[in-house]
This record gives sequence, C-alpha cells and structure tokens, in this order.
Amino acid sequence: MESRFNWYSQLMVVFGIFVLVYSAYMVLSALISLQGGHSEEAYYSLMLGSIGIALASSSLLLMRRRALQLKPPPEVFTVIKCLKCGFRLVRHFQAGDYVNSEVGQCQQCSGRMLITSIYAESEGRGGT
Amino acid sequence: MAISTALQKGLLGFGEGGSLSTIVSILMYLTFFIFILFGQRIQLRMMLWEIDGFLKRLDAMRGEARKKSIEMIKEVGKPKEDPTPHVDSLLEQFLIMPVDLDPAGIVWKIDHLLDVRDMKFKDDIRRIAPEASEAQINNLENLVEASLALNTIFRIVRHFYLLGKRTSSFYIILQLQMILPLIMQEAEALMGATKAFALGQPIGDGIGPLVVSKLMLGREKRKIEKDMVMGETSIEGRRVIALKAEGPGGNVGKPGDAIRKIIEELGGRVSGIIMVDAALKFEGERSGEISSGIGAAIGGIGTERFKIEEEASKFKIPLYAIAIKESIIDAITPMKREISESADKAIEAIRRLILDRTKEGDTVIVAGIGNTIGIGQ
Ligand SMILES: [Zn+2]
Repeated sequence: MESRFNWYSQLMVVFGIFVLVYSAYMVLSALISLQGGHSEEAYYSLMLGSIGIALASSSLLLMRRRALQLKPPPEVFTVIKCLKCGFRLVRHFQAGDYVNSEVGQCQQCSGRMLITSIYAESEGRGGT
Repeated sequence: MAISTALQKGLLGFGEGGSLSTIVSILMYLTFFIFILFGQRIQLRMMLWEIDGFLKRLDAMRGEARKKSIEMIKEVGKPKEDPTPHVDSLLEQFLIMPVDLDPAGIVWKIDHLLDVRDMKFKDDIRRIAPEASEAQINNLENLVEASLALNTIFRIVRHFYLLGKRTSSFYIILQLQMILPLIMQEAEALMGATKAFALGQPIGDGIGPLVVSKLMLGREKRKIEKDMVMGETSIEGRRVIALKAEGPGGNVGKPGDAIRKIIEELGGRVSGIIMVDAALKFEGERSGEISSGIGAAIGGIGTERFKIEEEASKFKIPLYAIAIKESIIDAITPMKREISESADKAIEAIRRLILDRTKEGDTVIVAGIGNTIGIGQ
C-alpha cells in the first residue's frame, strides 16, 4: 500500500515536471515567433502554455503540501528516575510501562527507580 | 522553432489559422452553455467524488481499528474461541438516551444507563478476553470504544453520502462536504488513540490524573467509590485530599460520586475543590499552557459535573478549575512532551491557589480529571 502510493506519486511528479517544462517551452517559442510577426497560432500556444504552467505548478505545490503532511508518527519515550540520587534515564517505551511504576534498581547507587513520565515526541528533535 | 510548430500541428491537429479560431470559439460557447445548464450537477459530481475518497479512507481506518482490537484481545486475552463475532456485535452497540420531555431527574437516569452500559461492556470484554488483567480489560475496553467511535463515524458519513447521491440533493452533499475536514481530523485522532490504548500509553487527556499522581506519590492510598483512589498529603499546612481514577488501566472513574462521598465523610468541612483537567485549546494557542478559572472542570455527558455542582452548592464550597490546554488530537493521542512537562507548572498553580484562597488547617480536595491510562498512583 505504502510503496504503491510512493510509486504513484513519483510518477505524478515526473509527469507534472514534464508538463511544466513543455509548457514553458511552448510559451518561449510563441514569444520568439511573435517577435517575427503576428501569428494567431502563437497567441494560442501562448495561452495554452500559460494554462499548462499554472496547472502543473499548482498540482506540484499541492503534492508537496501533501508530502509535508505525511509526518512519521511521534516516538514514545519513558523517563526513569532514581528516587535516591536523581539519576535519570530515557529509553523507548516498552509494553507494560506506566507512570509511577517501579522498574528495578539504580545503576549508580542501587536505589529504587521510578517511571516519572511517558511522553511522545516527533523524531529529529532528540529523545533526551 | 520548426519542431514547436510541428508539435502543435501534430498535437492540436489543425492546419490553417482560420478553422482553428472557429473551432475554439465554438468550444468556448459550448462550455459556456454546458456550465450554465449542468454547472451545479458537475459540482455535485465533483463533491461526491471528493467525499468518496474520504469515505474510503474512513473505511480503511475503521477496518484497521477493528483488526487491532481483535488482535489485542487475542494477544492479551487468549480466548479459546474466535472473538471476531463478539467484537463485531460490540462495534454496533448503541445507547438510547432517556426521554427529556420532563427533564427533572434525568441526570440520574442517564447516570444509571451509563453505569449499565459500562458494566456490560466490561463484562463482555472480560468474557472474550478471559486471561486479561483488570488494567488490560480497561485498556481493551477503551480500544474497542475507539473502534466503535470510528465505526459510527463511518456509518453516519456513508449514510449521508448515499442519501445525497440517491436524491441528488445538492444541500445534503454540501453540508457533508463542509464538515468532512473536521470529521476526518477527529477520525485521525481516534486512530492515534487506538495505538495508545493498545499499548497502554498515557494520552493527553491524562494530564489531570498525572498531576494528582505526583501529589499522592509515596502517600497511603485507598479506593473510594467506583474506580477512584484518594491519597492525603499536605501543602503549605493545608490538608490536601488528592483524587484520581485508578490506574494504570484506561479509566475515567466517577469523580462526582467520589467527591460527594469525601465531602459527606467530612461533614461538608471542605474549604475548596480544585479540579485539574485538560481543556480544549483554540487554534493558535500553545499545547500545555495553563489557565485557571471557576467551576467544575470536567467534560463528558454532564452527569459527573452535575453531581459536583450540586454537592458544592449544597455546602457552599468554592469550586476552582485549573485547565491544561491541548487540542482534540493531543487529548486522545500519546501525551506530548510539552503537555507532560506542564505537570509541574500545574502543581505550582495549585499551590498558589491554595495559598491565596485557604487558611492553614483547612481541608482542600484536588481532583485530577481525565483518562488515567498508563498512569499509576
Ligand atoms: Zn540512584
């Protein structure tokens, strides 16, 4: 499902770029031929070319906005603190974790360790 | 140059300029009349097409939520038979609200119906997941509830979609299309919630219980009323009774009943009730911001709020509210870091409130309202 969607959207991007380039070329050649003399065809290709540029760029922009919306889901972290010396540990959430549960002994002073918070954070901003 | 004219001739298929302009102007008139005659119909088709896309996504979401529920029930409940038909019947469950022609006393009727519903739901889950612990049953119940909500959203949207399509009613379709972005946002949030419920992770709505669990940490606790726990502590010389739903299973408890019981046990000698709850923020506000106000800060259908307001006004106890702002999506997806970190600020706000509004030796109730999933005490 995911890979098919990517394949499809890549094809759409390539198609959009092709339309954009071709439309730009049409506008450019129309402008050049207009310099030589007035021809009706040049006006039409100018019009078609600008419509093509507008459509292609708007669909490319839309695609970009959609891609930005598809953020990866945030990761969930568990913060564990030693009640005695304050040693703090952050790791990924594991099934069975809950706030205020005791999880073993401190590595530093063998005091009791307590889960003090569990939170979600998007990746890229760091876990600690 | 030569290539471009050749391409245009090839693509557009006309030779000389004269016939080209005739064809184009005929086409222009034609589209003009088509839009005048069938404009609304074309717009209708396009809207139906768009709604169809949303509907497919909703269908995929409810299917995924259902699958996740069945998987979790099989994984933690280890049922002997296939739970699928039971889950499917749970997903179609409904509640008939009591008649409100004569609204006096309706709160107790609603309260009773909700109790029955909750008990039946839990019993059903217990039966199809016999090996699950009490906390896991609560989590599974939350998970199935989220799937049920997604299923209901899908059924309602499909109903109006098909109705609009059948009657070709522009206004039914238009209304559906107008609110669909909001519906989709809620559906996305519910999808996030199913993940949190399946794993037992705290959600944004749990900030109230989180704050109170920090207050009662290391103190003696006792169960009070259905699914509620209380613990005593002191802040600035005031006796503080902290109250939250019993965790770490997914649970909101019945804070109204618990507060009434505590007040009655103390004979009404309470100088204030402080309620800590997540509140919906407006767009543009930051998640995790704290604001304070007056009144019973508790959502839901209104029965618990009614009980608290009744009891507080009977004994003339002031009601204070501390709200932690978050969006509807934050509220039911895994708790964001900024919300989790606002807990200490909320405790500071409680301390200030107690200092300002009560005297030494007074008794204050601090109730953490919300779903306590993933938060113990
Ligand atoms: Zn330590």
